[in-house]
Amino acid sequence: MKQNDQQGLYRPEFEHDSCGVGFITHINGHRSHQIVSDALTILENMEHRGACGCDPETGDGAGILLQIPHEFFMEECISLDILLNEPGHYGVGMIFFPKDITAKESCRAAVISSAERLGLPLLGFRKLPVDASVVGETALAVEPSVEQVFIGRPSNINNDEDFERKLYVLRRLISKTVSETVNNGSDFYIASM
Amino acid sequence: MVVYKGQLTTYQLRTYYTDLADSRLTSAFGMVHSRFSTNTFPSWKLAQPFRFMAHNGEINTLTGNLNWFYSGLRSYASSYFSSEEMDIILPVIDANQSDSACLDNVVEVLFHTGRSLPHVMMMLVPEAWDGNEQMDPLKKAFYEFHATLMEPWDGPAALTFTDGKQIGALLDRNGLRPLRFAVTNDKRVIVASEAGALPVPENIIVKKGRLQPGKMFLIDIAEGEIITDQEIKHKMASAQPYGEWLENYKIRMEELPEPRVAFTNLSKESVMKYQQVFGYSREDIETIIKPMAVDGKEPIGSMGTDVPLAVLSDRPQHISSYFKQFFAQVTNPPIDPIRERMVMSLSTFIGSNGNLFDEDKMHCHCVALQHPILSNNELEKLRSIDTGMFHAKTLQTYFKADGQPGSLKSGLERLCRYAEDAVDDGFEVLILSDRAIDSEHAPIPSLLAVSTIHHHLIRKGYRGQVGLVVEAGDVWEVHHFACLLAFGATAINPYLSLATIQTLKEEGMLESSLDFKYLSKNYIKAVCDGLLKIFSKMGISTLQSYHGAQIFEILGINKDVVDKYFTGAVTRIGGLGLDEIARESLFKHNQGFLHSKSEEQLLPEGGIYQWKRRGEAHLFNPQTVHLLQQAARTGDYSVYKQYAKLINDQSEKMYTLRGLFDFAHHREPVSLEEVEPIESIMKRFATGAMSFGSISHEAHSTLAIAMNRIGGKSNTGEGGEDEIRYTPLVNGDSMRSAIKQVASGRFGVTSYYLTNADELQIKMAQGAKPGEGGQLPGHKVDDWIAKVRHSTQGVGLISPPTHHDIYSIEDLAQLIFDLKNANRNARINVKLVSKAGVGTIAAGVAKAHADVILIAGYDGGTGASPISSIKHAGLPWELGLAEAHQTLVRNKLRSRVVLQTDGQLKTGRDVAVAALLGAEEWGVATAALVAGGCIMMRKCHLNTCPVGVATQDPELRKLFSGKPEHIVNLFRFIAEELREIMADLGFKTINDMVGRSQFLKVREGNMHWKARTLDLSAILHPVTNPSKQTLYNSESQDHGMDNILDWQLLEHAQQALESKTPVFGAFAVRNTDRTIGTVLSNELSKRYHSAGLPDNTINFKFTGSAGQSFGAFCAKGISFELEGEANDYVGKGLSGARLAIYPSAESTLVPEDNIIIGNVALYGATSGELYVRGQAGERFAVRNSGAIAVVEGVGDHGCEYMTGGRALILGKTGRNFAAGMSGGIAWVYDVDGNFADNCNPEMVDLDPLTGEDEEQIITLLKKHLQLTQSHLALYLLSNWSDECRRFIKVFPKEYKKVLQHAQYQPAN
Repeated sequence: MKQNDQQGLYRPEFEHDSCGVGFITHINGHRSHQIVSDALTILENMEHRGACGCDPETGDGAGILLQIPHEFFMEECISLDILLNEPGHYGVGMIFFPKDITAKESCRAAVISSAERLGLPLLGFRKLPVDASVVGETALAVEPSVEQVFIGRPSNINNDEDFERKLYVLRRLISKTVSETVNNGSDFYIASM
Repeated sequence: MVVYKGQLTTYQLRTYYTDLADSRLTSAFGMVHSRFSTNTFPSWKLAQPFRFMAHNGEINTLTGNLNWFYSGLRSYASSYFSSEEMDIILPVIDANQSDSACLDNVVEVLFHTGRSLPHVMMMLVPEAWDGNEQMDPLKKAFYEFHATLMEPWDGPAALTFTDGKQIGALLDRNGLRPLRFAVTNDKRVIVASEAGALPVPENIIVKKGRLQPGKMFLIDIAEGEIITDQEIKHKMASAQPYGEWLENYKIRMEELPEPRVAFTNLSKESVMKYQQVFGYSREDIETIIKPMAVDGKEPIGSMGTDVPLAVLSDRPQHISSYFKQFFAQVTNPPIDPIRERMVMSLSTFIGSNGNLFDEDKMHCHCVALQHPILSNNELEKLRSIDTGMFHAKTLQTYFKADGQPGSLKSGLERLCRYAEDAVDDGFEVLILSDRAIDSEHAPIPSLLAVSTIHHHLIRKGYRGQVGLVVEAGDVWEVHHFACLLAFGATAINPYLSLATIQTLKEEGMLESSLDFKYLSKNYIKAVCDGLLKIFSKMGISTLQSYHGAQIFEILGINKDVVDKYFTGAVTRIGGLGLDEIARESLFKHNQGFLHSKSEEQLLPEGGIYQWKRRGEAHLFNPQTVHLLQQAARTGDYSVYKQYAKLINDQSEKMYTLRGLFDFAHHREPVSLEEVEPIESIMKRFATGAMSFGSISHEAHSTLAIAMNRIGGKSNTGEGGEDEIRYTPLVNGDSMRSAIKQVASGRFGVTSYYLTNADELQIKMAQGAKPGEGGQLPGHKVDDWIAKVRHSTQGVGLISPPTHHDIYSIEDLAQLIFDLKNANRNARINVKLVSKAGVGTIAAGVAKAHADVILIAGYDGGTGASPISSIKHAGLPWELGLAEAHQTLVRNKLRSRVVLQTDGQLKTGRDVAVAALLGAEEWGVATAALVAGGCIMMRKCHLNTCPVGVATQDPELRKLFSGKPEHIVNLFRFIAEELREIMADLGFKTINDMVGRSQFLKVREGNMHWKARTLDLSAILHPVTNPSKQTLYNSESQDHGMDNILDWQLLEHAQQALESKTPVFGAFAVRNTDRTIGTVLSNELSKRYHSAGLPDNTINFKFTGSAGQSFGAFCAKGISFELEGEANDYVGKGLSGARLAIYPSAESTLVPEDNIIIGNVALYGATSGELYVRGQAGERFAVRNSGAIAVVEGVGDHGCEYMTGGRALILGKTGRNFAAGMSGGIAWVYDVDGNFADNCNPEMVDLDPLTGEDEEQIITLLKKHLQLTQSHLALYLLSNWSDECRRFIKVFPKEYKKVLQHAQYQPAN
């Protein structure tokens, strides 16, 4: 039985959450690393609005949503032999793969086959460098293997909105494929695409 | 866009993903989210933000929202996606994810199918448009049109959203989450739950503001501009001619032609027969229907409930008696449906929903209703409707009354077939009618019928195409209506309750001169008000969201039935199947059709709300009350044992879940001497929270003395406590209550009160009326009660339904922190009421650092509560306690908290069961009152208690005969009986016994046809304990007080505290410095009591952005200055201190145009002063009972529930000013001349200033100028003779009357 399943009187659907939110933006859309850093500072100064359970090093969750940092991805991808087009002509998926290697590769296969089925060129995967030493024990026990997938925009798609829609369909297709075909795939998750 | 997130703390995010620290990683924006969940089962994907948004809040109506979304799956299509793509996308919403994630899925699909993000947000989280006369008609039409398409995703919400080109934020209509923003001169916008979250130099800030309820804030980074709420919404509202569409296609009930067929009333004989068939009792008619028809109000009752649970009762039950209402506690707030009526709505639409992914004028071709209750005439109009494309079909809801297994099932199956066919045949309305019944055909309970069709049509993808109207005989009390609506009914015609009223009228049985038309209007009004109350209890504002939301736990119907016919609802202990439900119906049906041949027939007695000789059984009945009192007075344990046997032995007659258990022996018995002594066990007892005001001083202090004698704890209740009780009596007794309650009204909650506690109890809910507020009418507020509650004699007092500083779990954590600062030696106790999900809430509360968690049963006593709440809201404590214990153990949190339970605990056996299910402390209230003389007259709400317990009448109080020793006897007896059980089971200590549910088993040989269907294994589920924590409290919480600023303040204030020598100091602060000055005040109160120190003895200046609760509970003699800004809860519970807040000297802002302090300032303040140069957020001076305040503008709900003090508002106010304000005075500088529109006139007069007012205002302006250098104050003082005319005096009517009356009384 999975830990989260109902047991005794407990039901997973009883869970609640709540929190602190915020953002910082440049009005004219000027990009900088300072904005990213400031956003993280806002987050850190709302620590008391979050919570920890029995293990103080495991938080309940924190995150940041950003524009695609093109220059950064461009350079990172070059070293991985992935060639990115100009901004807007590729998409990025942030994927939580299961740690289990068999399950992970089955999930990866689902990503690849789904892109193929929709005629979207898959440019490559990038494993995210992470520093797991800071993470609490409880969170570490279920830490995913995080990778980014880069998807190219086919030439027959003329505008950003249509490409976004295709990526949306792709994400839905991948999730459905994984849940239908992969055993132990329940930890698979696409944080953004 | 890309999201980096995980199950991390906020500080770990930056380090974990090394990308984020890379300087090459750039973005024009960063949207962040920090999560606080009730539970810790780890999951990385629950972290936020999601793909388009981040959400701080909670969707209260999720089940309904999901069902309505799925209900239209068949009709969903979009020109932006091929049908193959659509197949991939549907069903859009992933299973097993959080409410916020579901919302994100819906936002995403509506965005991708062609709506802009602001448009989508306005659809999902609309403003309160219904009945808002001030709203721009264009915008109102937008909202109304979209209401025909989709119901609000209702609940407290602060949402941030972006599509990469625009980024924005939105608050829900109640504005229950804070969001502050700042704009800088280098073109940055900073938005966060707290001001000062990103420290920036004050001199570069060009605008500071907050998001207001229902408002949106948008930055278009492609265009480089900030777009205001008004601009963006105007743009959205003008995109299509929504108003015109409504004009042309919306169908109004009043415009429908008269019905083609006349409605036939039931004959008088039939009324009686139908009443029997549908299960009316005489009590239902006398106690419920009559008052609703005559007074238009739901009746009030008292003293909880002690009748059997529906599933244990021998008497045939109404099916909705198995349905227990949900209510909000901790994770979201209930709403006040009376004082905040403006956010509530009962309007609804009957008809088809259409294709959500498309904008089509025909979407609004449906019947619009003001409320969901149909009169007979309206129902017939609807039955005859024919617009050419809109038609209704009536389906008969009966089953064969042959008593054969499966008859009800085939009746339901037939109904489903007919319903499906009717939708196929193009009908837009299905009317489910149970009028056509006879001796061979019994009515299907309407709740079962409507829910069955509702879910059948959802499964077929058809539900969105029809409205379901119920024409039913088994609907008379508000709870029945609520159940129907929550399980799918769109509108209801209660033909039999209307016929009952008509018959009563015709037979002269009503003490009213009103005619039937008015009586039925009254009745429907009472139903509507009751419905609003039930929604608001769960924090839901609109019927549209409540519709289909299934906000109930089912207690006593089995899982097969629930999964199939009430799909998605919670049921955890099994119970009746369809055949048993049929049997119960047939029992009533036979009464009407088979056994009613004789002339002199009567309806059954009832006896639910009050013991009746021939009525339903009660645990406290004349016999048990007599025995208990005799035992308590004589000290005779053998008499107690007779009493206990009557309560404990439920083998013949069942009442409670614990009555179904037996003890299971797994150990050798020990001798009684080996069991821990009675004295140490008695320390674990508490009495209930009963306020001085609901019970008499004599009763209240007798309980306190008794509990102090045995080392247990009595509870102040929410009414404060007279300081004379802090001094022990000559004989060594003490009347001081060890537990000081902090409830939503905050009556008498001062620094000194908090200082005098061993335990501080935050009452999140009350068993008898969870999610509801209360009211003490003016005539009950005598001089003594007024003094203790810091209010005015003769002026009524309102307890709000919610704590205005607890809208969510992180807010509760903040209040716990505040109270711990106010008295760090006291345990902080959080009182919850048992309901499905209370375990996860308890886990969250443990994480919020409560020391004690009390799980109260639904059946607990009360001075006054609507009777539907006493019976239908909340659960028995057995369920809540077991769930809390199990969940805490699984979360490894159990050993950090004390678990306590209460709710009709009457004997040592009850306590033993509670201990085995996980409680190490226990509350006994009703039995203690009975021992002290209460004879269960249930007249507490009438002030006529004949034994002097629950009355303030001086003559009746003299009749109080209870003695502390009677109550001591009761607790000794309970403890002794408990010890005997412990010895028998082989437990030497309580700690050893707590949580060992394997020592309980279900009693064997139970052959009762209903009770035997129950499955109690989930309650007795033994918890695995892999981490080997103790199953009882063994470690203390870390309250995070080691590094607070107050330790420095204390050091600097040493001389003042020791010798009253004035001290001065200056400190830099930031938003993480919370609750400044509260420990200091605690120390001050310890030494100088409520009198405090002379003004301006402790003078501290702070610079920066202060965290939440700046100056909370600050005592007299303290004077704080803050240069900068502050967050929420400034001056909470202010107890005499003076606070002055003004902007940084560096700031270039115009102070009076910008926000400087957050929401809910001066909540529950009793005395002191606050001067604010700048604007405050929502709910300024809420429940203020004595502080004096000056501020330069406030948000919505200013001075709500205020009972005393003065507020001088030198600028604009938001909506609903002075709602529920019964005392004190506010003066408002009405700059724009539209203040009257923003004021809630229900309880206040708007008067011109008198000379005395002018004097007071001028004095305050001078002080404001001196303390904050306010230019506005200077301007007003210099131009007083002109400007004084623009001031309005807000004067509560009742308060005015009392003051005027006092003027004519000679001074004594």
